[in-house]
Amino acid sequence: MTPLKLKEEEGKSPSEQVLPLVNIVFLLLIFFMITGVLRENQDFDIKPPSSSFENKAEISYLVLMNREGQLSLDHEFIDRGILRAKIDEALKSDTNLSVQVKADKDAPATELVALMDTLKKTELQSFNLVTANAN
Amino acid sequence: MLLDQSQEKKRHISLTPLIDVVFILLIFFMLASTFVKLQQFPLNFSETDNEHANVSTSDLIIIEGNDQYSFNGEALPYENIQETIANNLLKKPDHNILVQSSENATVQDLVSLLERLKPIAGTNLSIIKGDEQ
Repeated sequence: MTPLKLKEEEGKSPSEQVLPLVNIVFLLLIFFMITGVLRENQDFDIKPPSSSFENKAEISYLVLMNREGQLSLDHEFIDRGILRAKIDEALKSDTNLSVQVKADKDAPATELVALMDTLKKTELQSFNLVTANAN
Repeated sequence: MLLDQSQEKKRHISLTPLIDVVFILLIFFMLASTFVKLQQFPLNFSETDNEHANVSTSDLIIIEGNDQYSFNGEALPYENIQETIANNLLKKPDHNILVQSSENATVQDLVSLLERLKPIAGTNLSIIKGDEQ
């Protein structure tokens, strides 16, 4: 049985024939490198709620809340009391501290309201809730 | 000493290892990148100012969960929220709109409601804790 031979293009070596493939793979690679944002390694998988707000999120001090309402800061599970102490401490070194809360869309709203109540007790004037673009 | 130049010219670098590496990089970036655009929704603490939540000058929206809302004790269809609240604010412009979440309400329900109410209610909007009414 003779092995199946693909018709070689005239005057082109096999390595030259794969060049279009390499070009496309390179283009795809460049596309993913430029347009994609590397996913952060987070303590748990959080799907933020969707909204149509236009403000682009700038993450500087991120508090995470999972589906069960547990809070996490800097890869550590914390409770609201410790969070308040940590934010107060951070506010001492940076008075313009901006806090972002990334809560799972299925987390209980009561937990988020309780977190807002805790944040209000700090010197913070406001915070930002991280949402995903609905469009 | 003469090198065999005709042999040197024919030798070329194999592309296979390069293609392998590029493929691996491609797969890495495809798996590790995310295209979800994150937005932020600013919340000021005046909106959770419970001390000013006077029941006689406030209207209460309760998020019941599963897309169910009630406004002053009556069921409020999700599509009519903006219209109802806007009409209510026209009649009673000094009233605060209090938003309370029940046990079944999710963060998505709260965000969806705030997103609809913020343009019409603005500073009249307050988020309150469940046990304060």
